[in-house]
Amino acid sequence: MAFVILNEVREHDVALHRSLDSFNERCEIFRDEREFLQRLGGGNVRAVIVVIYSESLDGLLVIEKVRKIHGMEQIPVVAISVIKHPLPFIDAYERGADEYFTFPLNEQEFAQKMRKALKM
Amino acid sequence: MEDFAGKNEIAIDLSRYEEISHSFFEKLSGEKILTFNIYDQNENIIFHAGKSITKEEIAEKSKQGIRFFIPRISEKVGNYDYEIFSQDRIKSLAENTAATYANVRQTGTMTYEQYLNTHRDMVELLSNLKSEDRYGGVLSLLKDISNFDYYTYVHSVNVGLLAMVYQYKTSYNADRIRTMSIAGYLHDIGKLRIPKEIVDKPGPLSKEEMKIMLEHTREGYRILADVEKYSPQKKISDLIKYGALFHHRKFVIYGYPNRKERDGASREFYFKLPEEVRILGICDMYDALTTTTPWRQGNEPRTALRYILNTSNYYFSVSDVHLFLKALSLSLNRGRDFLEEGNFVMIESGGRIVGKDQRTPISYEFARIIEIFRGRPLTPRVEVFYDATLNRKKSRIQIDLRSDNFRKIVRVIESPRMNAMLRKLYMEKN
Ligand SMILES: [Fe+2]
Ligand SMILES: [Fe+2]
Repeated sequence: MAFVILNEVREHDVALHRSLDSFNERCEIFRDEREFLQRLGGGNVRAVIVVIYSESLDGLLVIEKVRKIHGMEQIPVVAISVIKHPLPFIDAYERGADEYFTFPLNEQEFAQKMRKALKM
Repeated sequence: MEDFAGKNEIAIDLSRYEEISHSFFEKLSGEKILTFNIYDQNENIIFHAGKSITKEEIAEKSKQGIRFFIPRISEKVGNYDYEIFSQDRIKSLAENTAATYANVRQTGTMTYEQYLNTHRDMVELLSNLKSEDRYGGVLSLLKDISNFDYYTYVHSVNVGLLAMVYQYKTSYNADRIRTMSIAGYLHDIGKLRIPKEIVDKPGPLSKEEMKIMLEHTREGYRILADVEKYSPQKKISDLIKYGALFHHRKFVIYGYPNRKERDGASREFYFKLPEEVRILGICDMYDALTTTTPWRQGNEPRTALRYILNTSNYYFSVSDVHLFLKALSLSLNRGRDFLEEGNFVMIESGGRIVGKDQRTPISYEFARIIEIFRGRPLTPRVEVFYDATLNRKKSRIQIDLRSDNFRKIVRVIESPRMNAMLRKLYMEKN
């Protein structure tokens, strides 16, 4: 699992990235859930991306925790996952994600949905 | 004429009673004590609750052409005005537990006498169950946790009670009920070997602390196995030991079917566990969800029950979640159905066995609950309107889930946003 905090959103973020490193210096990447959640309390958060690599749905529980943090109720949260299945899709929405993508992605569709989720 | 009636005819109301198979019936014979009346096809009681029965008796009755029936549990909605256990009784059990556990924590081991104490307390409670409790009665757990220390005891008692009442409502012999309640009662015994600072820490644990904490499953198994080691002639049921060892096992169905098994998240492993152990995991979760502690506000029963339904296929299998909810949801929710008319739900269907190792594909649909049949919240009449697998609308059709064994509710939609989306889809003309 990886967590990305976008400090601001630019056109660049809407494009489909090959790896997390393609996000530039305006973002912070976390591998540790606790560190990530602690950081969220610190302000300057424009949007959150949760990347889920495994079949475990703990990532979706993280979204629930994000929403419970003061000030994070309205922040755009996007989940990106490898699991194509109707259930995690619903679970992600239910727990407060604005979008749930699964790989492989269509570039245009991705950009379109990102723009909507990030309210651009 | 009258004498003849009933020899082959079944006069008993089959909507209220179900026939039990001969092989199942034989399992009940022996040392075990029936917790339930058994009827013949004319609704006469032939074996009374509280008695044990022998194989010979069964064989003889069969020879006379008698068939065996027991009341259907799901058909009957009882009276939910009274408490199955009084709060005072549960409190005193928690205090006894505190004394025993304090000892176990000090020495790190459990003696057979201490084991018997817990056994005796549980059996004492069990003897208070009345046959009408099978259909009704409110199960209130201990909820006010005044201090940290108290939490483990109260939690043990609560999970023991949940396990006891679950088994009481679904099975017919005292042995199984006793074993499962003790398994529930002792499931977290291993926490007594985990440093107190970690067990009683308010708020979330760090990664390292979490790792240590999870060891309580293995430690619990060891404590129980040690009881046997020091008293070699005594035997503790495997189920009780497995309850301690495996109560945190998770299910997780989605993902890649061929993915290598991951510890703690394997479907194959999950289904090898005895049903009692799997249900114990749900009881454990229910108590955790509803308990108010100094650091967290507990959920209402209705919220917790819906939450548990929404973990189907993730923490627990759909069938286990349904077993748990069917047996306990009414008692825990004071006789009220935890799903309501108008709720949007997600339904899973398929998975029907059609050949060796072959099943029909699983699919998902959205539906709206049209009518709840009182006391059977999981099998309402629904209107299906959206295919969630193919992501498109389908022509609306009403289905009575009581007579559709292949459709199972796996989610109830809670978030306002999803509800709004579904309402819009539902309202749109086809
Ligand atoms: Fe535990
Ligand atoms: Fe527990």
